[in-house]
Amino acid sequence: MQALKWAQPAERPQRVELDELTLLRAKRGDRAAFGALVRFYQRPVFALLSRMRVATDRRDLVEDLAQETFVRALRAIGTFGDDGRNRLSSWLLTIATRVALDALKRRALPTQPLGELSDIVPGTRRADDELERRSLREAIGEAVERLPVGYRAAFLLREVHGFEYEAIAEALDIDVGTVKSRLSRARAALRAALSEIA
Amino acid sequence: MKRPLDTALVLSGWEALEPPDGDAFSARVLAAFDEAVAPPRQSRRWPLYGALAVAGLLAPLLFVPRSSPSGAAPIVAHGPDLDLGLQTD
Repeated sequence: MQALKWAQPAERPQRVELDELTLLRAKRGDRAAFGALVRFYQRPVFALLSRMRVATDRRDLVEDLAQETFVRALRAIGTFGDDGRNRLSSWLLTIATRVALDALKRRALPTQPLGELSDIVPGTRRADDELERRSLREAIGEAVERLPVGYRAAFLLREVHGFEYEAIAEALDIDVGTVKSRLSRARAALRAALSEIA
Repeated sequence: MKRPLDTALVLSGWEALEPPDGDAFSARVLAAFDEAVAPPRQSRRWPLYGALAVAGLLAPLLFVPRSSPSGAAPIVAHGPDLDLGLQTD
């Protein structure tokens, strides 16, 4: 297996938000705007929920939780911004995170590597051959699986969705120090897993 | 010094599900939203529930003994009158 290259720390992902006019219409209860909002944010919500491993072999369950996320959001959209928030993506992903954590608390969820599903989005990085990619996926999947859900959530919100520490703390209902600690441990665990692969 | 974590590499093995194509998912969400915010349907059984509620309220009044407003059984003296042999002039 080829040696893995170590990347420089990535910059926080840039997020594009729904245009203000559509948001305003949604806040007034416009159904077309509701639909636009769901279509605009459904991809990151699905990504978060599936990466949280709430239902690794159940696409329908991920869809159920995504639906729950958006229904909660649409019911409360009229109050969005009242508390000074200005990022709808953060607000939605916070709801999705809480929906995921609630689901994980409620049930012992089945585990099956996502890579066995047929409708998975391929990773952005290519290994030399399918065998290597499969090994890599499995190793990372195992490392992710071993992460406590709170660590997994903190890592995803920070590294994938670009949350600030304070926003993660609020989403997970923990203090900022705990966020930093969880991120550090999650990175260390994943770094160790990647070292084994390399 | 620690090596920085290759997040892109991690995510390459931590794939995400995509939402369904088209408007199928948003249509599903809107239908669920409509159901969630719809006013509660009036029950066809409301006359029955109403009658039961009224009966429940009236029941204590119907079964209280008339001689005892408090509902406690009236005190009744039993046995012969005692003659203590005391005589009075």
